[in-house]
Parts: sequence; C-alpha cells; structure tokens
Amino acid sequence: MMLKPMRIVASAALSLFVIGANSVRAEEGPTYERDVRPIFAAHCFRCHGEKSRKAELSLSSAAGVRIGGESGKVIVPKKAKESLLYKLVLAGDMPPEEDKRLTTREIATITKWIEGGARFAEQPHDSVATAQHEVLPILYRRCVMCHGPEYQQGELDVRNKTSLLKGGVTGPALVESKPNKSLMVTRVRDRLCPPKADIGEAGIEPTTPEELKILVKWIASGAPYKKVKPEVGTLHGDSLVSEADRDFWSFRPPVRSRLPAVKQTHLVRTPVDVFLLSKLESNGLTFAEEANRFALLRRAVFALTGLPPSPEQVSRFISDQPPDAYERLIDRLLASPRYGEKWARFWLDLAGYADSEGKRQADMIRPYAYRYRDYVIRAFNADMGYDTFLMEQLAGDELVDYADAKSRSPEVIDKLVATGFLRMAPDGTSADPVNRFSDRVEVIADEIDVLGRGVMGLTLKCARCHSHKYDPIPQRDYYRFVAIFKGAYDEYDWLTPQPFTNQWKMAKRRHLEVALPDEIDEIAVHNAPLHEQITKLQAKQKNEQDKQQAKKVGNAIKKLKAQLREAPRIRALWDRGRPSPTYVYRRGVETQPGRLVGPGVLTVLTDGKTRFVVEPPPHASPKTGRRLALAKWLTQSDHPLTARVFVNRIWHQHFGKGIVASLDNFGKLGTPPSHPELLDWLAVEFVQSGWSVKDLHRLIMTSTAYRQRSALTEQHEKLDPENRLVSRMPMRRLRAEEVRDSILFVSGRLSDQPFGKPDPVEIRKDGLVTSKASRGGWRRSIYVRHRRKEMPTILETFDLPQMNPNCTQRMDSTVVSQPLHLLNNKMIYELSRAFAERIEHEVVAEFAKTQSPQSEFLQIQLQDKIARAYLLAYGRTATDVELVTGVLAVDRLTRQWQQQDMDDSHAGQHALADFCHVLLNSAAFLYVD
Amino acid sequence: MMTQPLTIFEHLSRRGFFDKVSDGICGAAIAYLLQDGFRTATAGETPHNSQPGSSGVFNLKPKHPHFEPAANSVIHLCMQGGPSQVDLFDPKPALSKYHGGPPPRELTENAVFENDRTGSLMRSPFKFAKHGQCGAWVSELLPYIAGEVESLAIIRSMYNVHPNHEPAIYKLQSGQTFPGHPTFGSWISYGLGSENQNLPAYVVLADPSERLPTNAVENWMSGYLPPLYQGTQMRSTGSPLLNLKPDYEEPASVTSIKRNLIARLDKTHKNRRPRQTVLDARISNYEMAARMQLEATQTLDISKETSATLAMYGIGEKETESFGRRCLLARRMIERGVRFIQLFPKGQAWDNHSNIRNSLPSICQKTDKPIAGLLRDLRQRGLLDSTLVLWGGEFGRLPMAQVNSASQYTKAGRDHGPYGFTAWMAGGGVKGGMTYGSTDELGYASVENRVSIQDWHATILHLLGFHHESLAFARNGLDERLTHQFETRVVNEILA
Repeated sequence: MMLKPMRIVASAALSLFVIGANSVRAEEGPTYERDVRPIFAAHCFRCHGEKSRKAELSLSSAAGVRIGGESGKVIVPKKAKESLLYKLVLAGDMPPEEDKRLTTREIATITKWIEGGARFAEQPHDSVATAQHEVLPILYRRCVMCHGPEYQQGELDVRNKTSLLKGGVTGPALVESKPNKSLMVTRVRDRLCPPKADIGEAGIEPTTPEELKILVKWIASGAPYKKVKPEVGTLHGDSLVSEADRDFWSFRPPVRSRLPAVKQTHLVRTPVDVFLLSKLESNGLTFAEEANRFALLRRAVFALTGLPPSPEQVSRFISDQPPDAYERLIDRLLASPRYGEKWARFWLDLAGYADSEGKRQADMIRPYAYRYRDYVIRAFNADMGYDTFLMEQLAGDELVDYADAKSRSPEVIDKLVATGFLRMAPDGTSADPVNRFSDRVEVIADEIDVLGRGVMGLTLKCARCHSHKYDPIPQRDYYRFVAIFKGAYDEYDWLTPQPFTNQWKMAKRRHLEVALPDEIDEIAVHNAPLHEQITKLQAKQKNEQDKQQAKKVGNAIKKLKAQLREAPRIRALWDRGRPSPTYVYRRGVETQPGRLVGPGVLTVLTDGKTRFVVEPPPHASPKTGRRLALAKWLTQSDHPLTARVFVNRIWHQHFGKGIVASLDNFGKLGTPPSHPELLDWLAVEFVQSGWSVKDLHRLIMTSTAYRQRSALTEQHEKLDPENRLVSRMPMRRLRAEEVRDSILFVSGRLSDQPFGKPDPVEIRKDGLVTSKASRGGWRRSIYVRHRRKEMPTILETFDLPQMNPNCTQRMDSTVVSQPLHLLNNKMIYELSRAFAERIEHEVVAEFAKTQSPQSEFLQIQLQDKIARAYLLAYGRTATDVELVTGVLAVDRLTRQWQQQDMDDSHAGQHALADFCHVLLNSAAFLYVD
Repeated sequence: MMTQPLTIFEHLSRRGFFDKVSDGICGAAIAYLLQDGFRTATAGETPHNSQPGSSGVFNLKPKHPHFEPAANSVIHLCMQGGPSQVDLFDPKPALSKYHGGPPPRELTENAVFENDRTGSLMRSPFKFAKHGQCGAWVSELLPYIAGEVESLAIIRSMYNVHPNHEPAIYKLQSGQTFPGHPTFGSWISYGLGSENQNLPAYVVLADPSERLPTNAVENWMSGYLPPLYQGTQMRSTGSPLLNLKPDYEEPASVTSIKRNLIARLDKTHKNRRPRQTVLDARISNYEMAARMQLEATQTLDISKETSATLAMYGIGEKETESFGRRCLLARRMIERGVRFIQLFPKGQAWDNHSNIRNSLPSICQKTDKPIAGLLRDLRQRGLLDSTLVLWGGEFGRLPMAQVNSASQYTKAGRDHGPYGFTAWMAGGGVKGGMTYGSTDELGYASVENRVSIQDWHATILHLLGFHHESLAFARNGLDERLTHQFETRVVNEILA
C-alpha cells in the first residue's frame, strides 16, 4: 500500500535529477550546509541529531554525515542509488512517521547533492573528523605493533601527531601537506614497511591501497588534528535510554517482598515453600508427597557431589533418626571435597573452560589452564562469597600488587589465577595461519558475551554491530564496555596466548611468570646440579670425535633437560596501564571505526547521570583500574542483575528449569519469571547471607518443594504440564560426567586424587577417545584434559557440550550411540567386571562376619551379591522380586558360560559381571528420580 | 561414630527367600522374564517436536520442510584439496597465449595474500572437449563424468573467502571460517530428521586407510545444534560404526540374555513411572541400537550386488576400488533413507601443488568412474530425482604455475585459488546440462553470476524445501542459521 506511491516518487525524483543535472553546472550544485542540512533538520534531527544519535548516526554535522552510523556509511558520493540514506528515504522507511516524509522536491535535492559528489562547504571540520576516525585507527591497525607502546622500531611512535612529526631515526614520518615527503606514506608505498620478511608472519597485515589513500588525503590537506575527548556515556545520560526503559523489572533492584498467605501451612519448611505453595494452591494444586528416603538420598548426593551414594552413605542416612537426618545429610554433602568438583563444573561451563585454544585445527594445548579449574574447585569448597569470587575473576590483577616479589603470597597468586575466567574463550590468535586483527576482536567479543550472558543475563553481544533491537542497549554502550577491558585486551597492542610456528618474532605471550619466592628458590635448588651436569656434558659432546659416543652424550643431555623444572605460569589477564583508544565499530566491523568512547557500564543500569568512577589502583605497575571499577559495580549489594541471575542458575540446576526460563536473557526477549517474588526473595537473601552459595543450596534443598516425588500424575499433566509451578521434582538423566564418574565409582576404580595437570587422552585409530588411567584408577571427568577437538567419547556421547564460547544450559539427547557405547565398549565391559569383583570381595567379607552354616554359602552369597549390586548401583535395597530375578538371571548366565567349557567358579564370576553390566545399562542407574 | 550394619541383611530372611522361590510365589513372573524373546516390550511414542528451532526435545523423526522439496536426500562428494578448475571444467585458451607471463595486476585485485598475485601463468596440459547435447566443456581427465553432463549443473563462478585449506573447509561446511558452527549436513538433519531410525541420519564415509580428513571431525560436527545432528563416521570396511559391535568376546546367548534383562528392568522401571515419556524414548533407543547393529551391517554388505553394478562403480579395479565402494555404499544408504551422506577421497589428493601432470590424472582416475557410476546407478533406480548430488572442493587453483625453479617447469603444480572455482550439482531439482557463471579470461576469479559459499548453501537448502533465513536455531539471544548474517541469494537459474 505504502510502497506504490513511493515508487512513483522514486522515478519522479530520478527524472527530476536528470533535468537538474542538465540545467545546473556542477560547481553550482547543492552543498550540505546550504541545501541539505535544512532538509535533515526538518525531518531527521529528532532521532539523528547530535543529541540522540539514534543508530549512532548524526546528520547535524558534516563529520556526522561523512562517518555514517551503525550500518556504515550512509552516503556514497556520486552514487545516489548505492547510498543507504537515499535508499531508505526513497523506500519510505525513513523517516518512520508518515507525516514527516520528505517531499519529492526534497528528495530530488538530496539526489542531486549526492550525485554531485556530496559536497560540503566546511572542509576543515570534515578533516578533523577524518583524522580522528579514519587516520588514527589505520595507524593503530597497521603500525602500532612495531611503532607503539611495546616497540618503537627506528625510534618511531605513531600514536599521535607530535610523535609523527618528530619521526624516527630516518626522519619525520609526517610532513604536513606533503604526502610524498612523509615517510609514513613513502615507506608503505615502496613496500618497505612492514618489512617484507615480516609479511609472511602471522599478525602483520600491510596497509591497503585504500587506507594509504586516506593517509595521503589527510596529509595533503595539512594533516589537521584536534584532540577529541572520548565519550563517557553516563556523564549526561543517553537519550536512547529512557526512564521507562529503566523501569523494566530486571533493571530495578530486587526487593524482598512479604510472604504470601498459604492454606496448607503444615507443608511449609522454608520461605521458598511459601512462594511456591501459594501459587500451587491458587492453581488448584499442592506439593507432591515426599520422595522415599532412598530416592531423596540419591537425588541429594548426585546434586551435591555428582556421584551415586556409597553404601556407607546409604546406611548412615537410613539409620540416622528424624527429624533432622536429612538436614544433616545436606551438611555432610556440602562439606565433602566432592562438592567442589561437582559444582566447579557448573561454573566452568559458564566460563567456557577448555584446555586448548580452539578456533583452529591445531587446537593448541593450554598448559596452565588447569590452575584456574583448581581455583574454581577450591572456591566452591571453601564457599567463597560470590561477590569475592566475581571480584577476583574479573579484576584479581588489579586487587593485588604482584609486581613486587616480596609481597607475593599464595593468596596473591590465587587472585591472578582467578582472572583465567577471562582467558577461557576460544583464541585463534596463536595459530597458523593467522593472528589477524579480526581474530583478536573475536576473542574480546567472546569474553564480553560470556560475561554479558553468564553473569549479567543480558545479550550484550547483540549491541556489537548495532544498537540492541529489543533491550535499551545503544551500540555505544557496548563499546564503552569494551573500553573497560582495553587495559588488558587491546586489539592494537596484542599478546598471543601460545608460541607457534610462523609467529611474528617480536610477539609476546599472554601469560604471567609470577611465582612465590619459595617456589622459585626450590626450583633453582632442584635445577642447579642438573644445569651443572648439562654444561659438563655439553663440553664433552663438543670435544667428542666418535659419532656414536657423541650421540650417547646427546641423549644423556636430553634426559637431564627433561628433568629440569620451571615455575608454573599463570594464564591470567592483566592490565598493562596503557589502553589504546576505543572506537565504536560500525556494523561491528573493525575497519569501520566511528566515534571515540571511554569506559562505562550499561546506561540502563545506572541513573544515567552518575559517572562510572575509575580509579587506577596505587600499584607498582601501572593499571587503569577499569575492570576493578566494573567488578565493584557488579557486586554492589543492590545490583539489579548479579544476584538474580546467579540464584536463578542455581535454581535451574536443582529444578531443571529457571524461575526465569531464559537463563541468559533477563531482557525484553527473555521469559518473565514464573515466581517474581520468589526470585527477588532469593536474590536478597543470597546477598544478605554474604553471597554464600552453600547457604543457597541449603535453603533450596531443605524445602518441601525439593523433597517432592518426581512421579507425574494426570493432574500434573492437566494443570502444570511443564512444571512451571514446581508441582513435583523433575526426573533427570545423569550428566555426561556423572555417567562416567558413576560407572568408575561403583566399579571401585575412581581415583579421588584431586587437582593438578589434566589427565591425557588416548585416541584409537577408529576415533574412540578415552582418558588414560593413572595408578589409583581413573580420575573424575573434571580432571580429564578438555581439548576441544578430542574429548573422551563417552562424555561427548552423553552430551558434553562444545565450549563455544561457553555453555550455560546442557542439553539431553537420547541417541543410539549411548546404548552402543555402554553395551559394546570394552572399557565399560571391563569396569563391570571390576564392579563384580568388588561385590565378591565385599560380600565374602560381610559373610565372614555372620555365622551362617557353610551349606547355605553358595546360594546365599549369590542373593547377597545381587543385593549388594543393587545397593551400589542404585543406592537402595533390592525388592524380593528383584532379588529373585537377579539370582535366576545370574544362574542362567552361569550355565551359558559353563557351556563354553568354563569351570563353575569362573562361570559364576562372568555371570555376575554380566549382571553388573546390565545394571550399568539400566534406566534406574542412568536416571535420577 | 560407628556405621550401622547394613539393613539389607535383615531385610529379607534367607529362609524366606528360598521359600518364595520354591513355592512359586514369583514363579510365573520369573518364568516369563527369563524366557527368550521378552524384549518385545513395546515402547510408547517418543516425544515429538516437529518444529525445528523451538526449545525442548530434539529427535530425528522425519520432519516437513517449509515448502514442497525437490530433493529429500543429499550426497556430498567433498573433494577436499581444491580441484583445478582450469584443468577440469573451465578451459581458458587465453592461458596458452599468456603462458609463461605474469598475471595482469587488475585481475588479481581481490587477492588476500600478495603471493597470490605473482608467478607465471601456465596453460593446461590437458585437452578439453565439448560433451553431450548441452556441449559442456570437460577435460580429458574425466571421461566418465563427461558422459553424465546432461545431468549436471556446472557452476564455474564459485568463490571462497580464504586461501588456506582449514578456514576454507570450515567455510564450505559451516559458513564460517573457523570451527564451532554446525555443518550444513547437521542443519539438514536438524531440519528434516531421518527416514530411517535404524541408521544415522548423517553418515560420513572417509577413506578407511587414514584416520581423518583435513579438519578431522570438524567436517561433520553439529556445533551448537544438539549432538544428535552431528555426522556419524561409518567405515566402509570392518566394523562400520564406533561401538557398533562389542569390542570384547561374549557368547551370543549371553548377549541375548543381557539385552532381555535390560529391557525387562527398564520396563518395570517405566511402569512404576507412568507418563515419563523420556523413559519410553530410552527403551526404544536401546531397541534401535539392536536394530542398527543389524541394519548397519547389512547396509555395508555388498555381496549381493550384481557384477554389472560393481563394475559400474569400478569395484574390482585397483584404482577405483576404494572410492567406488564408498559411492556404492552411498547409494545403498540412500535406498535405506539416510538423509545426508558425505564422501571424502583420500587425503588432500586434489591439492596439486606440484607435478600436476601426474598428480591430477591420478585423483581423477580414482574418482571419475565411481562418481559417474553412482549417478547412473541412482538414475537407473529412479533415485536421482529425489537425491541431490554435490561435487566440489573448498576452492580451486590459481592459473599460475607453482614451481621451485624454472628448470622444473614441467613438474609444476598450481597453488590454492579461492577467487574462482568450479563445483557441480546433479539430481533432485537441478537443471541438468547447463553451465552457469564464469571466471575471467584466465580463470583467476569468478566474475559473472558469482556464487558465494552461502549462496551455494542457500540453494541446497532451497532444493530441500527450506527458506535459508527461516531454518534457524535460537542461541544466546540470536537466531543462528547456516547462511549467518551474510548477504545471500538462491541460485534460481540452475533450478529445474
């Protein structure tokens, strides 16, 4: 309807232009200031003026028009049909209000202006914009690696005009108005810079001809330069974020509301129950009855330790007396070191933990990532407050003054290790063939995505290329957020994570060599005699004439060198106190820089007027203090998102569904909370408990809601099919790690050796990946090497996600590779043998304690073995029918093996192992009620 | 504190146990559960979610695309390494004229690396001829495929964005130049499910004599789509699937008792938990495992194929045996309803950096007859109309010679050329007997009717009944799709 008349307008406009072009001579054509700006003022300034700058576009100045907006340039001189502004206006998309549309005559003027070369009267002003938004970024992109903060090759620094004029050893880089005399042009043009030898090396990208043209143009026009202050959004507020935007539920601080009234007060154990019950009652429902004690035990043990209950845990819980037996169980489980191993995985998923860099086929190993994994396990076990936990991970390097060797302590090291949180994203900048500029920007974008969704529950990432389509996050807010990280993650001043072939020779590595003085001394003591021997042998090798003998000596040297120890390094993120400028990248493209911005947090989460305070900490090494300011802001007790997002995640882990179902998105497109008052109550309670995660578990797990049965009734299907009201506990399948760890655990082959370097994997010719066992058996899955391209097959089969960059919600699939693995894989088969041996051993030991007649030994033992198998695999006693079934099945299996000419005792052992294999494959083992 | 002795020892008096067994309280039940063949426990319907992209349960049941599709299954002949277009499908007489001279600068403006702009042009050492009624040009290296040109839409104007294998292959498979995104096979399995629940929906057949092709398993990973949709590598010899058969020894009777027992235990477990559909799905999953053992083995058993069929694929001839076998298996899988089959030749055989005079004929010989055989066999069985066959690499090659020294000119090869290359499609919905698009006069870059990788992806999805913008998966606040944010068009001109 609307388009048709516009098409007529279009052709009218074009024909008008043709007439115009014939009758008006070029130099008399329209200029921006005289002819076009008034049109823009009347129709466009309300949104695209200097104040609002919607979509990052300001049409009120020549500079603004030239730079364009989020979608890139809006004007292509001489090519009206290719100019975005023209296209949108012509199609009637802009302005959006019908009564503001441009007249045919106005469109014709704009057309004529563009076709005439889009002339501006104010050239000088325009060139300042060129300097700030086009010239400097080019120099940063192409030259700063050798002529910037890290190196000043030839004594040249290109980061500002003064130093360009001063130049380096071969003369001034810049001679105003004389591009052909300016070394910054001639050296590039003559292909001397970057040096030919470096071009093949990763990370060096020569200036393109188009970029060179811009440099030449700028110099030719006298190299105009004016210092521009970066925009810090929170100073005056942002016109794109309104008070109404701030009023959205998740952007207001949580408030502890009064507990609602419930009828069945006897069902209430904790305030959690009140909120849930009130809603259930108003929907004609109530809590399901309590799960039986075995089911409850198995559920809680898996929830807190990721393992099945041991016979000792079963007997202790079953024999403990009410009323507080269950509460005591929860306390015992929270105190277990296995707790940290289970819950660290939850956080490592969120952080995107991996022992390799990803992004490239080489998928290089990260040798020190495990220290961060251990930090997380310890933090959970010690119940570190979530505020401290976040603070250390976001800004540990700015919390402590580690440069001074004397002040180093294990706590200091821990805080540096903690920043590994921000080093977990896939990083393609240390692998052949490329460490391109765009690869670096990706790393930063991934980390911001992890932080945005993971910690803040916002899809910040969407504002990278354009202002957020649904949430009040202008694109400039995203880049202000980027600026916070600039002291550490600086795409112009980059550090590569790993050394690699074809690397630029001068590239530095992003790891910290900070160790404790004792540690360094100890290693020195260990290495000293080795060094001495090596030196001696090397001398001997030099003088050795006999080749055979020399080779022997060489091998001896190799052996000694292998014994040398080095201080473990830290995969940290640290501020270097010299951030490059941050530009808004139009369309998210790093070669299209727009406005200069400074560090700031999201406008919608502030009052819009209070400045984001950044104070460099008084440390020996310079720091910007930007991430420290961010961490402090995020962990304020009344932050609208931090506590809400976190308690919602913990809730989701327990109930299989978040109170806000979209765990990562608390914005407009997220799902509204099913129980908003409960969410707020939990968030406030969590903060007031000192951000204690263990207290939060206790609060949730001791509730009546948590103790419900998982049985699904007709009423449930009718009134609460998706369990939004928590009318029961969900049944769930074991997670990938739980499957593997449980099989090892019941077989008695799980080593409880914690921490340290990850266990390597073996890859069979057909692609089967398994972790290697160490002396005490296999370690828990969290200690297996997480190399992205070779994860153990059993974990992948049971839905271990790819960290890409992270995973905040595991998926469950039911695929045929799962039964095939559990049935046919040799390791599972052998573990079921180990399971059977363990049963034999334990039952014989038990039988020895009783005084039954020997005559009953054989049959009785078998019955007891079946019972033991059930106890180990399912954490409960077997029913009569199960025992009978088991005995007869094993009996029948024994006969099959006897037919294979196997003696009775071996046949019996095989049969029991077969039975164990069956249990490990059964639903009762793999699902939790 | 002392732990109490276990209650299970008191739980059931031993005397009582034997009484129960002997007096037959449980007799009937036990007799039933220990007889053979009680694994007929029928499972209920698996929860079904036919709407790709909505959250919840994912499965491989057949699903309807957006509109009536032209094809419903795909064979991707993934010619990794970069087949040389100017020696196979895109003859360039001008190369003879400029032979030995440098390429003009203006033709090489899009080059990513300076190296791609230097060197001397080299004419093709191979002869070209027109074939079929359509008169398509094919070189002497592909005599069998030349006989099939009436079925092919040859696209001469493909281009990729990266001149190195790994990023270019990632791009080809997933639309991005780095790992982590679902491959197009995964997208198709996600969108269409599978017609055969006893075989994987997405099968990969790589050369059995080497471990994995370049980019390894990333060639068929599902990225952020559920792992259900990732490709399953089947080997054309030996045990076809990881863990398909026990890798330990066990009498068949024992296996059968165990399977039955699992089914029995699960059924009891399920009966005590009514309405938990996930348990039904699990039970049918175990049943499928058993059926797959049988069907996968049968699929790979080619002993009943006629000698004429085997000969058509070149099976029995030394050069074509390996790839021919994979092509035949692809047809057998199409017959059984596998949705997407991806075939790889050995290694990077198309990566002819040196001695192209010998190395290119060698890989052509290995694959030409099997591929033509596959097309003919599919056509004879009426399967070609519903099967989309794709041939092509991640890029092509530069028209220049790659040499170590001038004296070695006869041993020259060609370097990677992503700026313009040839791929072809055949089968369901494809207009046969046509050549589409063109490269510049030297075959360096695609110039007319350029087809990007995302255009190629969108066209494939279109043939399968999908709007590429709408086959999406919600992730991290975005609707992810195969063609990503790139400007994309369906190449309508090659559609029948």
